[in-house]
Amino acid sequence: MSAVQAARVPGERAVNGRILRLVKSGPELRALEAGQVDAVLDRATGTAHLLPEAERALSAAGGPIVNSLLAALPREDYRSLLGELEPVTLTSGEVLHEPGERIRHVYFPNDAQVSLLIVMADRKALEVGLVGREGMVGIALALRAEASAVRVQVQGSGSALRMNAASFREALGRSLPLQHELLRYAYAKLIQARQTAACNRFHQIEGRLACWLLMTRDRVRSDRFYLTHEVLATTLGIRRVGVTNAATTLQRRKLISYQRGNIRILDGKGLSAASCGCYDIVRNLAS
Amino acid sequence: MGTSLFFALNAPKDNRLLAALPEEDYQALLPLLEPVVLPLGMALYEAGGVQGYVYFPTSGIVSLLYVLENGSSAEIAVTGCEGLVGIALFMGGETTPSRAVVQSAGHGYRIKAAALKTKFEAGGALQYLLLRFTQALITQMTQTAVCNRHHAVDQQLCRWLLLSLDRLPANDLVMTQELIANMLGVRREGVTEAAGKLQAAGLIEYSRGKITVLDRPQLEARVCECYAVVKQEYDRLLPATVLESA
Amino acid sequence: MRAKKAKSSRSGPAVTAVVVMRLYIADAAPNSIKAIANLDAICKEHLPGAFKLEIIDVLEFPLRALADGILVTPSLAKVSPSPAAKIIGNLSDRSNVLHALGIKV
Repeated sequence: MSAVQAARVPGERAVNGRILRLVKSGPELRALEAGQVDAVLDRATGTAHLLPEAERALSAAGGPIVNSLLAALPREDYRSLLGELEPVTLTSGEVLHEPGERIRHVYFPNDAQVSLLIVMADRKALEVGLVGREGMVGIALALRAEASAVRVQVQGSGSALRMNAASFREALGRSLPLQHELLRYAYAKLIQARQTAACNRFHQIEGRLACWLLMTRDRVRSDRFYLTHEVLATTLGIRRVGVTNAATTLQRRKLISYQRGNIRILDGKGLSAASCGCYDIVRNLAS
Repeated sequence: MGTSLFFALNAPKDNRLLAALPEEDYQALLPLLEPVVLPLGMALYEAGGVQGYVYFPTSGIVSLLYVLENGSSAEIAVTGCEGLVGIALFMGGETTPSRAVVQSAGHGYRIKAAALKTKFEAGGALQYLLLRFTQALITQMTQTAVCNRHHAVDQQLCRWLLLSLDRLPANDLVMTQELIANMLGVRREGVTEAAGKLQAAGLIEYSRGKITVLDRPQLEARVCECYAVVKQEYDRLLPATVLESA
Repeated sequence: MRAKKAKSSRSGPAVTAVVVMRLYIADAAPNSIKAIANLDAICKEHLPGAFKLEIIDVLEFPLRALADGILVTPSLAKVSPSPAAKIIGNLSDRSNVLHALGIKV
């Protein structure tokens, strides 16, 4: 009986002796030697032992599932997707999709942040959405549309899981939980679009600033973060002086402190009340 | 349920989604559809309403309005015979977030939300059509957001006018300036000014609460790109939804 | 959480006998994932509407697997119709799997 290699990587140790002792012969041994075994059961201890390669793969993939949509699926449904989910690294600035193109992949971000942009006639690009671990990129596909009118561009580098369109359609057809999860997410997107439309119409700078600060707090998971007036002005699409005025008002109401870009949220509840309403609505849907 | 005369005025297949269903699916849905009249100004839903019906207009148009606490409102999307009103009821939950008001009188059919939800969840052509309609609606709302932020009131007026007229058989629309102000979410003076500009350019005639489009091609040339984006998305996603412009 | 029964596939015409199977896996380890994908493809093509599949994670339920006579994962056990059969490995050898499940091609 030859020493069984756990992996074809040069320098890998052989499968440890204990596992070899548990599997003596027959199809089990053949499968072990062919590298098709993940774990071996030990009658004496009543436990399962993972082979080193499987252990490595599980701990690399392992721990809690980061993307919330995927994490919400029954584990079985998630596992059936795994064969088609490819871990990718997304780099800030990378364009994943242009308006009007057929959707080739969907993405489930882990720590990457992806912007959805409308490209105007004058070539200016406006952010109409930001997708992180709470969502997916390519929901149009789940709504049976083949193409999408937004530009998809990576805003914050990080990792994500990617699936090609054909596999995604198939997975959707197979998994009712996935359908339900994505339908809920699509509805959340609709409410978000509706909210943005109203927000942009009624144009309360203070309310929009409060909303943005709360959403940032949720994204970075801290009451303190750094955002200059400049960056805020660009994000909100207003002049810098508008940011300064609105920020001053929020400070005067003791809702935030804002010194040289250092923002601290002092009164989350108050800030939420001061926000334009978007925050509460969008947040309730995301949960 | 309706008499044949009523059917002539209000055939279910005047709604394009219903017309696009395979005959078997359509026949299965028919007994669940109840004809309704949609008079001007009728509110199909209030924001947060718990109404149990979804509506398929066959004529006329319905505005989805976002209403603020102080009573101001703005139209987020418009729907006519190309779609349905009340998707929240089978996609999201029991309440509708927007106020849905009949902006131009017409007819339609209503179906109990729970019944439609059951049919929707069964998959097939109905699900396919309703999902694609949802995508089109999201695009309209997103584009409205963009338009509200970046385009002048007279262009927004053009956009709203063109999208509405695409869903109506005639070339004109009965609408007070007050109502238009509520649609666009601007002050009445803004509407007067914007309408004045369009009238001066010979694009529309606006008198006694009626807007008549005089030069459609020029109107389409003047409008911001938001109109084309929404129109193309609806054309692409939904079956033969847009009426021929008069 | 117990080992869950996977849903049998959606409606198909009634076939002669429903194939009842159990797939033993080790969570999301690579061969287990492959086995799930391979079995899914086989069932869709050869057994539409005519199978019942239970998936058991041996990391969660090692005693159950041992009681069922399973030594390694992934393993596929055909419970019925008889004869019972067992296939070891990630099920990538399709003809082997079909043979063991009694499916004639």
